[in-house]
Amino acid sequence: MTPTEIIYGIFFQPVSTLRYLKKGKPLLGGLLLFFCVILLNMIINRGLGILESQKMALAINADLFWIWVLLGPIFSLIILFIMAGLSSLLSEVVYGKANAVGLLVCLSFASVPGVLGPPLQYAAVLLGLSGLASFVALGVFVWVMVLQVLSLREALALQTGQAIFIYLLPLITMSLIFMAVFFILFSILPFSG
Amino acid sequence: MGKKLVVALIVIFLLVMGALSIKVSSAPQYGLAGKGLSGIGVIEVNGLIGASGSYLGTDTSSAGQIMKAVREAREREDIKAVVLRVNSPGGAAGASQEIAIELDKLRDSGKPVVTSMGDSCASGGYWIACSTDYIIANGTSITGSIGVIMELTNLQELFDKLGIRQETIKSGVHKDMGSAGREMTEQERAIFQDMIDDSYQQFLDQVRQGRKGKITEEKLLEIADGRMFTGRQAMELGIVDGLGNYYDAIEKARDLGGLSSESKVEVLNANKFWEEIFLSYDAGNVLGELISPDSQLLFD
Repeated sequence: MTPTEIIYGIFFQPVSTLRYLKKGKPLLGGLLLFFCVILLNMIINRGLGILESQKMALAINADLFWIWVLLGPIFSLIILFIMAGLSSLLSEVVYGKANAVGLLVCLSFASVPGVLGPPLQYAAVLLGLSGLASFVALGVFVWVMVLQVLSLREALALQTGQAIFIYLLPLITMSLIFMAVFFILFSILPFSG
Repeated sequence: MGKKLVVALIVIFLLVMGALSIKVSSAPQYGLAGKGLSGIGVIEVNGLIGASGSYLGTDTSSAGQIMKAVREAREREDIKAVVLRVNSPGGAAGASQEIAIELDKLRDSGKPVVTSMGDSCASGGYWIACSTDYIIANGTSITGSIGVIMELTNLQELFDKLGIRQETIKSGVHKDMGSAGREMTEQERAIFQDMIDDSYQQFLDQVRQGRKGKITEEKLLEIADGRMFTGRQAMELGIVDGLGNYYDAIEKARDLGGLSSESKVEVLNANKFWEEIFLSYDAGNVLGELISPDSQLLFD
């Protein structure tokens, strides 16, 4: 598949494209594309922030933007690596199936439709359709989430239900830990009154 | 062919939106609000006032940038009044004075200037506030601190313990006055004290001029000992003209400038997109700071 076909495929034929990516593992291209997506999103989100600030009669304090520009893509890449590694590990522990590199490639490409979110939001705001912008953002968010689950399914050769379970497992675990900490703290705190 | 066309359209859309976003971020209207052709210019003074700003670009305290904004307000015909938003504990004497001189020129051009105090507007911050027509403080703003200070560190004993001996070759007897490597002489102390006293007198003159008719000479000399006040105390003493927040200052500026309540408000020294990314870190300033002595006069 050519790069054009891969990008087209991620948008319109995600399953067959992810199957190809799982085998071909174009890691460098995937990471580069992911980096571009994050960078473009930040630049356009910056424009969105300024458009919003112009409605508020207040200066926006964005002096730390350059730090954000530097650290944003780095943290996003770190999170991508953690997500791929953790999901692969959990899948190996639970279902005995692992493919960290393949999953990393698939997750990198799964982020591509996310590049449409902020530009569409920006276009909606420019056209005076600010209300629509939130729905666009939500739609793209769900789209990327579905692609991430598909990435897990295809890269790790899981059933759809199993992929959803692995996808949600870190979230469920974190929620349980927070709930446990909350209940422990609540039980040891002295009652006032 | 169809796939290429779809991908090309997506890429073109992204590039157009990205370009528009960068254009908005770099536009001079950055920080603009309201309507109309004429309006208020807001100049922010955040952090320690100095010749150069913060290395991290986290505040707008560079005298050069502030003066540039004041000059822009004077030259632009659409700016009819200015709000100086100060959130500063003070800073270098020279930098504060430079800004105040530029503010005086702005007022001489017939444009009213209103100071809006944030958390603090003390010392050097108050020096520049005295070059405005009306000062508004929050009840809990920290202000005052009318005075000058110079702090020098004597590291002689530390050098002795570390076995460091400073060798000085100088053209005149006082060329190394303030050196951290030895005890200050009485003559040097007297020279420094004269400098402090002279700067203090200039500070007093600035307050006298700025608060003429609002505070008596006796009262000024009584309180000008470096002490700080809350905004409410300052109001009672005649150090500020009114209590209120940023929006009250905007309204006051509109009132003084004869502007409507819908007139535009533009921040004149907000950082632009590319400045934030590339110019926040100024290696030249870092070098200058490293090689310059730490004995500058401070209003803080």
